[in-house]
Amino acid sequence: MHTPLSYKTGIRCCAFTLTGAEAGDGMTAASNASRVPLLERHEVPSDVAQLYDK
Amino acid sequence: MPNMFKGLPNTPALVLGVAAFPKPLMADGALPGWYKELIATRIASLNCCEYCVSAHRHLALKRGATFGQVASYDNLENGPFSEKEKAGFRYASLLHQSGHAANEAAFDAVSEHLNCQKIIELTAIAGAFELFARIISSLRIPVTPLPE
Repeated sequence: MHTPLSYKTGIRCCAFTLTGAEAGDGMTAASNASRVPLLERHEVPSDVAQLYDK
Repeated sequence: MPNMFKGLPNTPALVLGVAAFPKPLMADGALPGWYKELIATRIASLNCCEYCVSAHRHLALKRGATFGQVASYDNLENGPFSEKEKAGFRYASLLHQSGHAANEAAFDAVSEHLNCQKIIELTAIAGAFELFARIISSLRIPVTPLPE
């Protein structure tokens, strides 16, 4: 279902303050576990590693 | 290092391309940087992307937005913004629905306040943060801690 949008009333589509089971499945705040590995500098190719220095 | 840029290196070629995009996208241009950050925050909020909201409202403040402006990204019509700034927010919010939602009337309305360069920058940011928010939300990339 498309989220209703109103810029006139400023309705928010969700509340980030909610977490856990009450928060619903659609909010990023409900889960802290990344679905992909978060790589550190020593784990990436050298050209990508330069991004970590910026 | 933002967590998104720790996740995307699993595909090295992709992260190099994505990492090159934010600089021209978000730098001061026809639109000021603080306003660009609030556009990003607004689109992130419409996408329920806590990661992007956290990062870009912080950057908005750092780049010159007032506390009142940053606090108003979901209450734009009543926020401390000029009519020109509100027109941009309205247009970006429409783009969240779809490109087709930005119909002739909407384009005419935003064109009363913003020139071609500004509309292109606005459109690019609104579109980009649909992409970023979906990547981050779907991969469950955790919010990057803000600097002290």
